[in-house]
Amino acid sequence: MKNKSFKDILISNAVPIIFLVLSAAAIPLSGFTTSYLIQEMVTRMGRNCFLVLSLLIPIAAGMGLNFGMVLGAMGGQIAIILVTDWNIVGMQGLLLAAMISTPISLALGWLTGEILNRAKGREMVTSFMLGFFMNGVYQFIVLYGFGMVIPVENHAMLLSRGFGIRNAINLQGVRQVLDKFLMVDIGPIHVPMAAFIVIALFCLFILWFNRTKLGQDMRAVGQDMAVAKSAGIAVDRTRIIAIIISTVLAGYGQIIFLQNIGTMNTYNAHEQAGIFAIASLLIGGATVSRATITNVFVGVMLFHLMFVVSPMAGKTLMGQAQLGEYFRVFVSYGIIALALVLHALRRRMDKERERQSLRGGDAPAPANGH
Amino acid sequence: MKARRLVVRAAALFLFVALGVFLFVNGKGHDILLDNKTVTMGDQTYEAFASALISLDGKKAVEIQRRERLPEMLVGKNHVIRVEVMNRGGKVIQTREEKFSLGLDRTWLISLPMLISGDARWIQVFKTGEN
Amino acid sequence: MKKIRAFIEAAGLPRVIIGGFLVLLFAVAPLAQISVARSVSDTLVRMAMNGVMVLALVPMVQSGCGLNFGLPLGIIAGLLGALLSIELDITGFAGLFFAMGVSLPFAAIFGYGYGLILNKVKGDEMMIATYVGFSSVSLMCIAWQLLPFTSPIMIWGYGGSGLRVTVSVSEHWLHVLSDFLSFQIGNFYFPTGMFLFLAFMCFLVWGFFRTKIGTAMTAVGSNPEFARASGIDVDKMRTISVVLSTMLGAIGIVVYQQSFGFLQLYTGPFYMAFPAVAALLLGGASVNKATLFNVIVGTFLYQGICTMTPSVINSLLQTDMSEMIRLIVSNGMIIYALTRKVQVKR
Repeated sequence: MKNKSFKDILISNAVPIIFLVLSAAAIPLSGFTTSYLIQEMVTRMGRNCFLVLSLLIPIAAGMGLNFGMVLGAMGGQIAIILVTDWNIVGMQGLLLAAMISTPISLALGWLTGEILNRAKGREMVTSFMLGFFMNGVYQFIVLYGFGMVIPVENHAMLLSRGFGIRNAINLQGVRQVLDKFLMVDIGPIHVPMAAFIVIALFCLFILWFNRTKLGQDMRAVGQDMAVAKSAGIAVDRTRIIAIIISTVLAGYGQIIFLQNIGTMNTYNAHEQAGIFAIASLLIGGATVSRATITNVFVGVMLFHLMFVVSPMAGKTLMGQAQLGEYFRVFVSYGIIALALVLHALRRRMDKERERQSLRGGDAPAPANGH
Repeated sequence: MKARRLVVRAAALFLFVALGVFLFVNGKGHDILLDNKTVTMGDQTYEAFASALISLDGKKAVEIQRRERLPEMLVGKNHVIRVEVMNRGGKVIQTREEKFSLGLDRTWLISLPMLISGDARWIQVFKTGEN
Repeated sequence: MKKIRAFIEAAGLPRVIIGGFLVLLFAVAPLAQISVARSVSDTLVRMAMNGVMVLALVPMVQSGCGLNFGLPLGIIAGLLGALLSIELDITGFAGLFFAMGVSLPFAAIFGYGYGLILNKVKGDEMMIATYVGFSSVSLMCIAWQLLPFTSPIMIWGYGGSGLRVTVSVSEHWLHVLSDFLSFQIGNFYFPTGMFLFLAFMCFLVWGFFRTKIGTAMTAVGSNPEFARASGIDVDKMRTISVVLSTMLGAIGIVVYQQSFGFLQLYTGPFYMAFPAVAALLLGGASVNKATLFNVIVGTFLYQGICTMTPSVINSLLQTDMSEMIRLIVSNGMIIYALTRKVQVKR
């Protein structure tokens, strides 16, 4: 496997390469300056990488793309609503939001894990539907719970009827506190260093986690549940832990995202978080069963490059910015569809090859990491 | 062994909650209204003064005129206010420094004439709808 | 107690809960000053309106392709047919049937491509179907802007370009099917035409599953290995089921539109598969087995809930909770089905 030919590299990185070419064509059409684009990319990396990183662990555990990460994002949003209402400001507010989101995400992650254990083999579609389902519950809590059951002090956040949170709330207390905590200027570019340090810590956590006993178990479960079980690994428990970690981290990721944006679309910020994070990861060259930290960074960059560039490129090309916007929506969904198809194809090919080698009689036992 | 684990968990939970409370108290943002109006409390009347320089927690001073009310923002519980009263010529005639701590209420009213005269009721919770 | 348990076992817990809830809503309706006759009538209208789209899911479930979350593909075909019929200014039944007829070849082409994809991804159909649906809807958003339609009813009048977000069918074939042989008794209106049409479509599907191809399809769904051993072309059967499903979806949306009054373009078709899937599952179908009985019962229950909750809860609590209840009921139903491997209930 070490001596990959150029062609192999090209094939296995087809998706990022296509994107690079598309963006390279679109950049001159958009008419943006290089320094503007670099600044946008740096800002967006700081804003989004954490969310995308939260998807890695369930992939290692063989549970596919965790569409249930939107549950974590909901937890983060509820925490941020509370903190904004109590007017806890600055870094304290941000940390408190993270702390409040933790138990909420723990509970939601546990629920997701339990449900996904009952739907083995269709984790993705189930977690996807679970996101929709919990969206109903979230709306119920935010639209009725706040102001009726959960006291809200700051009436400016409430709808005029006296309960329920407004569609958009201003997060002035925590706006960009992480970004501005350690802003480093490199040339004309402002780099939110603190956000990148947090992201780096997360990467280290993932690298460390992969070496722990639990991390090893997770990969074993991801490769083959039956083998892992016979090796004495508590499969269901390991899977639940993977989802819990992912959900909790998605909650933190959403808090980081929101502090950068500074305002929150109460009723759809979490849905967007899910679709954009998953599309980014796949654009970075990840598959449903394999994703690395590199995929995250490459993916976030390429996805957001396209995101920034396409409306303007659409305007230059067709005279309509709207077309570029539709195009990027199409790309986010299309890329997920494409990646899912490629994954299913590859799995089928592997299965066929395995069958063939079994028939040949010289089947090398697949390595299971144990 | 089981007992030890329980103790560790309880301690961790306690620390978690304690940190939360600490952040809550320490990060609470308060709106402060600095008020330089004549106030009557019972049979006592406190006259507003011409102008004053106000510094909160050693930050750069702001100037307040007669009958003015300035909003300020403070984060956390314990604070210091320093008031330098000036006469019409702009000369400082009286200085007073006070420590104060804020409860969990959001908005507080500081009456500068009362503070200068040493009335302990100079800081009060401000309820919207009153004046 | 034992009898109750046996009944719940036989009918399936979700059906019992939702059915009970629906009965409760009808019982409470008079208290909320809502006409029961009108409510029943609304439920029936919506049932007939959505019935064909729910029916469209059946072939794919039967052939083992799972729940057709890719229904928007069929809907797009239906929209194309409807747009063409309005563009050519054909009114009345002619327009309606022209829309259906024109949408069928589109649906067949889309369905064929979609079926080829699904054959390559056996085992992952549902997730991929969802995203094939999503991406084709978003691709069509671009197409709706660019397609050269000219009828003033459907393009933006001022400055803008491309098709409108909603296109009215009121000047062409609004309610032609609904009002066919329909009757009104007080508040109660019965859309006979739509029910006749739904019954006709059900009959066609019923008949199809009794033909040689139909039985082969069911065999593929229930045991692909056995089907292959007995000489059935599994991939071909699956493709046929997907084409059939997509074509029924196209017809379904045209029926829906003639009753609803508008074509919903752009992001309109995005989430249309989920209510249909939820209705089918509510009717007692599972991920790999569905009957016409499931379609009828499920559509009635689901649309009953969707009609009754807004009116009853709004007038009792003075707030609109219908959207949330719909989200929770329909998606909860889908999750329930995905996490269980139950046999189909009669």
